Amino acid sequence: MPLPSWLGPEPDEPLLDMVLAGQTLPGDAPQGIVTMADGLANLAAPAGPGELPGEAAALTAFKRSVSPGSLSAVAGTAGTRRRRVAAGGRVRLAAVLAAVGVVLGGTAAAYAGALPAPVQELAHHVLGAPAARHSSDGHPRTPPSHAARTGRQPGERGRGPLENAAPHGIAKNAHSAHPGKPVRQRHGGHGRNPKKSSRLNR
Amino acid sequence: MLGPAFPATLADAQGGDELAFAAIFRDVQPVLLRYLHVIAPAAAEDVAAETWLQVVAGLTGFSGEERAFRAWLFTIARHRAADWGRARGRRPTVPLVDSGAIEMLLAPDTADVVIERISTRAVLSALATLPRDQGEIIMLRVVAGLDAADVARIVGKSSGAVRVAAHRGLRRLADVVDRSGVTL
Repeated sequence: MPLPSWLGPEPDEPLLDMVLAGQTLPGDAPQGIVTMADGLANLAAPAGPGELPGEAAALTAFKRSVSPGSLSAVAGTAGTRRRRVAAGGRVRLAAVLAAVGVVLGGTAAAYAGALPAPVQELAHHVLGAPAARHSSDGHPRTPPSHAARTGRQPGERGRGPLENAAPHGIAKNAHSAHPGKPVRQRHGGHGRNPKKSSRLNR
Repeated sequence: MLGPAFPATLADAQGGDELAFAAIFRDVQPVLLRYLHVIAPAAAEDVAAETWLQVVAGLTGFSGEERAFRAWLFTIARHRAADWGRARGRRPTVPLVDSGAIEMLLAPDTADVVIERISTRAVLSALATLPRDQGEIIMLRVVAGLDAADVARIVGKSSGAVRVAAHRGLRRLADVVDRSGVTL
């Protein structure tokens, strides 16, 4: 039974703090604590046989997240709120958008910036198509992060949306000033495969 | 933990390097599964899979060093486990005497015939019998390698409360070991 706190710290507290900190226990530590610490240290050991289930699924999800045209990748470029949208929700939203795009002249219309402004804006945020409004010099308003990713300046033409370019020289965006916390996705997003960004430079 | 290799590995993974991501996965997954076996034993692999989906989705947005990455990942895992728990009802606690943990400690592990050691499975079973906060805090502190401040943030307690819960849990574990008579 633990001692009342007014009697001061328990005699084993320094040893328990060492266990918590992963420190080596002194030679005169009670055997029970030593064996327990050893058992806990084993739990931090690398994977044993059969201890990596789920690797294939995780890698598949990762590959999809970096593949061109993937919904999760494109959604990830468009803001923290979209990151929270369930995969099913993104699929449904993209399906609706694709349907609208087909009605209005095809999804290529979205990438050509040819859709009505509200729909074009939606396509911009979900599919990475150009934003509805353009800058005064006539070039599409390209977020700085896309230029950083692609090495191309706004207005420079890239490849079309259906062409597959090998990823190369992916530049990374600056990250949050708050280390350790997930960054709120800025408009235009993060360093990604330049294949996707090429769709924006029209 | 990956240690000095983590920053470059993370950067490569964020750039789409599958091998880099695989390295991070293989480093974290064993610890993640063991943690989930304590807080969500019936669905550890499912919850781990959901955790990685969310990690993948947010990977490029993460910024920080390795401990911060683990704190972020285990926060996600805890939330996914909580969702699972809410969906399936409260997990019944198993009294230590009924958990089989003591028997496991006494029975020789198939991989440790010559040297009697506490097997991973036995330790996990013993941890799973502790009050939820004690077992979880011990896993996060000792096994996942998170510092006290990170653990306090993840579980929503003060650093002092985390320390008290951890000590109580460790004493109970040490008691189990003593009763089992297992030695190094």
